[in-house]
Amino acid sequence: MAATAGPSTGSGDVKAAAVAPKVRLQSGDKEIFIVDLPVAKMSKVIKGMIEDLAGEEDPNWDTLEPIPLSNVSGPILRKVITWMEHHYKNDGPEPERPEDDLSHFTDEISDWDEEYIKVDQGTLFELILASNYLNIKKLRTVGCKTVANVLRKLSVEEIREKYNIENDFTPEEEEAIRKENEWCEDQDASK
Amino acid sequence: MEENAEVNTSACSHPTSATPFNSGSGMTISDLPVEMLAKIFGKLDCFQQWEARSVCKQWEFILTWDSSIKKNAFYDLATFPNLPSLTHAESEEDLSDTGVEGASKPGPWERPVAKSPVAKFWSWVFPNHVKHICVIIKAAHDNNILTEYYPKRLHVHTLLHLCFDHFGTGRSVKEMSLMLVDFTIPDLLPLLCPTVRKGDWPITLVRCRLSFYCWKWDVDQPAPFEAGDCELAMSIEKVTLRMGAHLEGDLMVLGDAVLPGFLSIEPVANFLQEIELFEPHAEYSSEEWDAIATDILDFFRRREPQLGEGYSIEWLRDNIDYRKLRKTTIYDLMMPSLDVMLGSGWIDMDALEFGYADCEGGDRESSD
Repeated sequence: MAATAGPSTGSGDVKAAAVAPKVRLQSGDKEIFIVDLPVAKMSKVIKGMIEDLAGEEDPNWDTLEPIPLSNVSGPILRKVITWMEHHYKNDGPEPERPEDDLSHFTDEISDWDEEYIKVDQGTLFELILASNYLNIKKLRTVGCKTVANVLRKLSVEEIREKYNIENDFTPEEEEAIRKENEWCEDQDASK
Repeated sequence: MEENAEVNTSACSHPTSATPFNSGSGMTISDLPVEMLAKIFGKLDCFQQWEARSVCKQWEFILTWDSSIKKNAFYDLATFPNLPSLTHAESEEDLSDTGVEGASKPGPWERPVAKSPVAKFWSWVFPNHVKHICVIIKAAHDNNILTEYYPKRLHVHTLLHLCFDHFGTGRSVKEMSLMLVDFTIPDLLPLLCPTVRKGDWPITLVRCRLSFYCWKWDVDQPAPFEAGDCELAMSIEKVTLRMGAHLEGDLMVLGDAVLPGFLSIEPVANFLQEIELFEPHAEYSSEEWDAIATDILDFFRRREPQLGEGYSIEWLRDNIDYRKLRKTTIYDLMMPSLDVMLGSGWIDMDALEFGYADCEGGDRESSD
């Protein structure tokens, strides 16, 4: 297994000025991942666990127990770490946003994230759950936007078919929905 | 750091450098918890959310009642990117060219309101953008291009829905209702189809109106009705009646909640007089009118004994062209009180869940 890569060590990279300590993350299936501490802290859950485990003193990171992430499988955790490393390297820690900054409420997904999220459906949902569990909001948002982008291209029937969702409306309920929409049909159509 | 077969170092640096990833879990969207579904739905615009309600009952429930969805829907509408480009109406000057009266004239609802951060958010979003969108919808409708892109029915529905939602989020009822009545609804009226005007009632508008009344008539902390409120309520009713809509058990609120605040019967007469402008078809015989007028006077005498003293059937007859009144409207004004309606199930209290508490104390960030 190759040595850990971590963030860029380019001369202009302030973040990499010092060698970052590393932490071990343990997936639900007992796989161990060695990750740079600042990268791992992009997850607020991991950050909290690190602070709990490390205590107030500067800990010996080499002997620190692996951080158990029992709700995330190894393959998914690897994928999540990929995301965190890339974004730590390129974006830095997630900034605190001013309350009136709504710029992150957009439909846009960066090119890198778009490539990153090209996964099968099951993985996508696992990534969403993992990012939620690990409290990585940006990754969760990428996942949710990706699903939403799929949904918005599909009709109701196509959504049911794609996601194998049973139509549990009774005929009467469907009729009620249809009627609920009917009032606002186009004038031309109602003539 | 010790390395062994179990240990993985950091992952690849770019997703394209890896082979396609497949966890093989087989998880589907139905396996996601409601909270996550809500977050996904929050990324859809309000029109797509409306459509998605039809997928299954769970989705319908989430999309109908999750307050974060409502907030996101509001945001989506307010920042709707395509409509401005349809009409190229992105500046106030452009908006004023759309032919909608007062499009660029600031109204009282545009004043900033210092409240919680969320309330400030709403204060920013609602007045400027809903107004903006109303104008654009109108312009797009006039240019007959709206339906090529989005069904206008969804715009109309959503706007009404958002008006309803916004009651109580940092601005006075009067201000919000003024906007509802003076700007939003009148602009939307031409967009409504004939079946609506004939009485196929948009439930959201019902909620708008009921929210106004119930806001003022909070069971625990009733707010006194003021003359302005009554005028406002009348305006709402006029708009309602102009649409020709009638929902049994809805107009009834007016009779008990608002009319006692008039302290004079003239506004009632004026109100009834104005209604005729919109319903000029019904005609009553003199006998019918006398019976109606008697009922009206009895009604007011019962509620506000001092009111009926100076008024007579003759006075009403002289002041109202009864031949043009709608019988249903008159009797609607005399229907039972709100608590009776609530007790009888005429009004669905769940439908009156405004969500303003969420807005005041909530945090938009929590819904992504």
